[in-house]
Amino acid sequence: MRDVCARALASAAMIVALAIPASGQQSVTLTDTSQTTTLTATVSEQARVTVPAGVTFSVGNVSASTAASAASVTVDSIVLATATKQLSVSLQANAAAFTPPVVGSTTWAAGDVTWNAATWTNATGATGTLSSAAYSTVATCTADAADCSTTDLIFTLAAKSTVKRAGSHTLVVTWKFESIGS
Amino acid sequence: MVISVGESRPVRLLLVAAALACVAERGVSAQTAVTLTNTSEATTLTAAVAEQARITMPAGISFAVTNVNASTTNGNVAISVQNIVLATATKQLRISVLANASAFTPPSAGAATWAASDVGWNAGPGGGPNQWQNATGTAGTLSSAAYNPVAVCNPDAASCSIAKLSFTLASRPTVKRSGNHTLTVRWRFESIGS
Repeated sequence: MRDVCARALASAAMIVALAIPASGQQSVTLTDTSQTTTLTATVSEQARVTVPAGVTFSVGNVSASTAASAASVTVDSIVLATATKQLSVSLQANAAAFTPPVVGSTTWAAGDVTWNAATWTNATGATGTLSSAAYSTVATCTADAADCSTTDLIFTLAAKSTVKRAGSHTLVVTWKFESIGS
Repeated sequence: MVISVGESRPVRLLLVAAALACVAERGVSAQTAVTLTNTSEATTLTAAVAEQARITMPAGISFAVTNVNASTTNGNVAISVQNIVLATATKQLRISVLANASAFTPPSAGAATWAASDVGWNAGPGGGPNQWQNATGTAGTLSSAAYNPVAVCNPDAASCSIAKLSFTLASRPTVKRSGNHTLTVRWRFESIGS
């Protein structure tokens, strides 16, 4: 009888050891509510942005600077990691100069484009000059703001009296939206 | 043979129970004098089988939210129930789920986040891995107030499963804080019917 009990105890121990769940598999008796799953929404820093597809300078006098119509920039659904981080809006030219309508003709440099410190809602605007070497700040949204926007961002193309060719001189710029601070 | 059983409470309890069973059996054995050869004594062995199943559930379900203005779906949730043991051939195993809280826990205290009810699941209506095997799925919405059914296994099925059940987190434009928003849900496995 003693041997029988010893074997029974050993078997019971082995059964317990085998019953420890591996890889999430587990035998349960019904009704069972012991199993849990953690749902995790991993939320990226993000925002919804609207920028002008184009800004047009109607140059009637190459010897004078030309201001474009006021442009609108809107940022909403701003999601950042902390309440003190801020969303920065900046701009960089994709090339060092405009592309003239006729190859080789004189045109404007990227640095000939500037912008004003526009009036922003929930942001602070900054004056700037376009560069193809680095992003230049256009505005910084207020910390913890859900949105920021402006409707009076004005780009100005400097005078360039050496331009001799009429037609469309074009330059693509890239906007950068990033979180700054901590 | 040396067997390591550790110090866990369930192990100790089982060992004690087994030891008590041995002692008890010796104490209550009926004493009867018989002549040999004798085959008149009988003992009934009873395996008391509980309603049971072996289940495999995901430890976590992740939603990669890159746009709070749109819903986010995780379509790779695998659920498996094997070795289903029920009292009758007509009873069925039902799987349901409950949220442990009414809302997710945001990464920053007090920040806007999703409600439990922003989580839903489909019925597994597709084909292949998107369809329940040996079960009927039910589309539902997560609640912290009541368990809501996810699927009911077929009567007399030994197993039921789905490889790619879809869970969806609704859009929540008011969320302003990035990082991990978490919510624990609890599964219930029960037999229904008779």
